[in-house]
Amino acid sequence: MSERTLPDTALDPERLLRALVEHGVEFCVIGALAAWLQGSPAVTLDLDVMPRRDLDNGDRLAEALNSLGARSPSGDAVPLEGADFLGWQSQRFETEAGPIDVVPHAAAIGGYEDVATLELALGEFAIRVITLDDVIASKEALGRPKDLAALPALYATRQALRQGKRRDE
Amino acid sequence: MDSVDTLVREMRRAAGLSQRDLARRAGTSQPAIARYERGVAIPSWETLQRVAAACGQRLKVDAEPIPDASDVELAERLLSMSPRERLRSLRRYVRLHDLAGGSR
Repeated sequence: MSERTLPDTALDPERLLRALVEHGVEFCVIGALAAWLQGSPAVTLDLDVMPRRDLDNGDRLAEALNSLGARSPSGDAVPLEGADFLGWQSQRFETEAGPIDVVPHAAAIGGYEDVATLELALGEFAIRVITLDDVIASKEALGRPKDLAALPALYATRQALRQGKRRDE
Repeated sequence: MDSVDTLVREMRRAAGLSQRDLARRAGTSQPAIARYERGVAIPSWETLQRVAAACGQRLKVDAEPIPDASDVELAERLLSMSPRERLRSLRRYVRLHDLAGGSR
């Protein structure tokens, strides 16, 4: 099979999330997008999702990603199936709605069953995102330069949330 | 959590205790617990440890950097939007990033 590099497709988070929801995928949003949706000013260019790790959910996830023309970062198009998502490895795909990382397990916060989440309504559909505290815990534990660089904005968001909460009380 | 009043109230509620129960267990008075929870008095570290222990908790001290004021201001602006508006504003930022020739 010949290798080719896909042109980058810009992230369209609403389209990606809608596809997951419409295919009935059980997942939560983690990482920078989860933080952005809770007010963090650090921009992200991809979507990180943590799916429930079971075959039926994997099948739904595979269908959702196939519907978006998911390819490996090298450009190889391989029709995905549920069993592809039973491992613990993170996987990255390029799709027609931008890049998505499927992360079954994250440092410090664990897997789908372990994380603390909250529901956010996005118009006609709703999603679950991990709490800002869990985003921070994960970034602190990962400790890579890009994670550490994101922390000031996350701390600022936590402070703004606390100030807002105090004003509401 | 960054205020003692909230900490005392939440620990007590999580333990299912009344102010009177907590006071008895921690060796203090109910009015003192009420003052801590209203934020009009601050317990000493030793008292706070006793209050926490009475609720089945152990205190730990943590520190984090003071956020930059402009980051907080930006976060407050984003917080004034609905989650859907935030999602759509991200799409605009991504487009701008691409127009500016940013790398991914």
